[in-house]
Amino acid sequence: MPPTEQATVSGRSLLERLGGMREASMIWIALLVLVVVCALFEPSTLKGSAILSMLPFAAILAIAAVGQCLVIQQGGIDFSVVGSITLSAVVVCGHAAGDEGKLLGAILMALAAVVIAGLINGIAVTMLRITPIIATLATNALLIGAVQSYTNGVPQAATKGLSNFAIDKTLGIPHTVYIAAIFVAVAAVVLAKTVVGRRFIAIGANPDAARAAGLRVNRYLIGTYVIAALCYGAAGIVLAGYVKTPGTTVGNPYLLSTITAVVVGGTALGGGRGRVVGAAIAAVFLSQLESFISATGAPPSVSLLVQSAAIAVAVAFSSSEVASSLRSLFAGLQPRRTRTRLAR
Amino acid sequence: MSTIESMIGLVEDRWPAAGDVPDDPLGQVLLASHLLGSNRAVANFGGGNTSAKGRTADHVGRDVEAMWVKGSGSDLATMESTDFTSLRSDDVTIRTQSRLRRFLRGDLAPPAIVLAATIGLAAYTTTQSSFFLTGAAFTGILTLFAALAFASMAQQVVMIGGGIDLSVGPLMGFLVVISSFVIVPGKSQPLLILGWALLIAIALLVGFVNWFPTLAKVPPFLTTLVTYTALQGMSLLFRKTVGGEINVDVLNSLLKKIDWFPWVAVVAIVLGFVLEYTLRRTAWGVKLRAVGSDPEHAHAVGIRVARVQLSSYLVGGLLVFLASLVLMTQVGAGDPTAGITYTLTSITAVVLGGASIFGGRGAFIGALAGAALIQQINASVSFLGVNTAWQTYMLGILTLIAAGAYSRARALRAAD
Repeated sequence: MPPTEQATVSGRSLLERLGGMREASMIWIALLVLVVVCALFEPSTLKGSAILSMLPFAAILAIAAVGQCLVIQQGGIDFSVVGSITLSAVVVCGHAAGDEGKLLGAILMALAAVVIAGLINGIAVTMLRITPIIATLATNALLIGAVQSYTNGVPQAATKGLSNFAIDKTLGIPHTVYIAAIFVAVAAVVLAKTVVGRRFIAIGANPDAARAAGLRVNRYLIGTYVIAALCYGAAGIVLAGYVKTPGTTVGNPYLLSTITAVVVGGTALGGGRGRVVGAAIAAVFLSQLESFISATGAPPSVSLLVQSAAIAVAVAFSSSEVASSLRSLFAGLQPRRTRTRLAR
Repeated sequence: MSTIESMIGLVEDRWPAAGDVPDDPLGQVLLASHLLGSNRAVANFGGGNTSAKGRTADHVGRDVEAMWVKGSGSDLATMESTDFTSLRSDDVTIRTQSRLRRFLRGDLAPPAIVLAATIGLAAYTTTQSSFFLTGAAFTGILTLFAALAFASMAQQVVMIGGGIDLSVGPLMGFLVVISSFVIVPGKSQPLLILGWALLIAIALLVGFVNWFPTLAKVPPFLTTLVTYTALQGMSLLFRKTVGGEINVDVLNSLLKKIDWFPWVAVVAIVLGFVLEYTLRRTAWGVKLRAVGSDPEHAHAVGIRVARVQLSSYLVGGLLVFLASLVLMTQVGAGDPTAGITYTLTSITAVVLGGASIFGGRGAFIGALAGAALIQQINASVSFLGVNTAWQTYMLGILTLIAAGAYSRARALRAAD
């Protein structure tokens, strides 16, 4: 865990502020480097059409990653992503059954289903005191069971309206991107600017201290899992529209990819500071990386290897010991500054 | 009345009428001491000891449970109340737990409960389906059990040392893929031996790679997330699609599948008990549990934490190798997606078996029992003809119940 720079309200120089943003800005730098590499070696991946086919997947991943990021910030981890995304995708298709009039009801049904899953997660973690990884693993099993019961293995198609909405663009930008932007912006603003957000951060940083300060920690934790579930539910609904006929394994890639996005986006496992914007940018980064690798004609195996390398690099930078040895290498290059450090 | 008469007759009741008896326990025991001590029929000169239990006010006036004991050096007949030593009961009572209570809080309760559930489910399935206990069905179930048992024990050894291994499943799959190149029909004996050596070396190397970043305090979840992803990529690199025939005959002679009974299941169970003994009774086992419980204190008492953790990852690698042998007989070819599901299933198995995901606690026979219950659920659901969704429902519900109950039991134990 890297020491977090204490935010002193006044008297911070621009340089100091940049220093404080170092970890957050890593992902921006990584994205910039990737764009340069793409421009040099596979310029076709930066064409409008290529970007437009990459963005919806990045957007759906970003929506789900916001949920995962909130849970990880609270010191948890959510293995029920797969089940939640899949269940909401099949429910929104199955309940509407092609009837546009039932679409709104179907969306509400899908969201209600994942909210129940989020509640089970939250109650298991707080009241039953089950470790998050185990609790969410169990909930995921329940969700996968629900997917099988609901579909009997036969996938249904999304309504025309839903899939048109998911595929269409407004002002040249896919709708999925707007939805992702809303999720990310709301999460980022609520966390940074509201009392609820500040308390949420305090609980993630140190639940015992927060409890001693009189915050209702369990309520916030249950709320976190429910809101995360809503993110997965929304991602599942949009995904259903985009792929038109979601199968019973449509959510499978999202366990690995949401955790990767959160870690690459600069959030440390084990709680503390969460970076929802970083996770969203990481979602774009990972999607563009995927499109670059497939453009080079490399097999899918390479994509997995590069993805694992991306996590390894992110982990190396966020691990305090690795980072400090790297920093000491570059120590001569950086202006030395004394900072107030708030050890966690 | 002669002395003899009173010695053989009933002891005379000298206890006074209710009004003359003191209210407090100390006064009562003092009175009893005087009465007994002055009666030559029941006590010699000065002889005997007395004590009493009761409630009284302590030095600050709190009502407490107390005990008074007559010390040596005073005479029963003439002693004063100050000759009694008074003790607070709370400080001198040894708390005794019932055997059941102690058992329920120990590491061996979860395996026993899970095993009972497995046997119960198996018995019920036998009464409902005539196919269940037939040879062919049992071969399949026991073989699947063996694969999961080895994978779960691999997960268990790493978890007891304070880690977690997400790469268990993909490593099994990767070893299967590599075996489709080196353990193929028509290879000479020396080449096959080289092939086995290569597979074992890969398993150990992955264990080492999973361990190495712990030196820089990288969480094992992240390290093994990297190897989880990378190994899947490596499998796809060597086999884009299913291909290459694995020499299953070699494996069968190795695994000694005699008639219908897969001996590999017995090997898994025996190995589980051997590892359990090692964990409980050898220096290595004690060190491993110490490191998993509290690495800083383990270091403080002179345990080489990093070395012990390395050993857990290497043993884990070898167990994954054994699991992959069973998987090879199941898939028979280089399937790049084989085995991946074993990661989450092995975690579920050890949790059902009572392991703590934070390390230090767990039992190899718990991993065995967890693996047995999972395969029994899968088998029962298909033999009973209910919707296959029940396989995951049962798993989810049981995991929540088990993890919740164990967590509660640990909280109670910690409170003692």
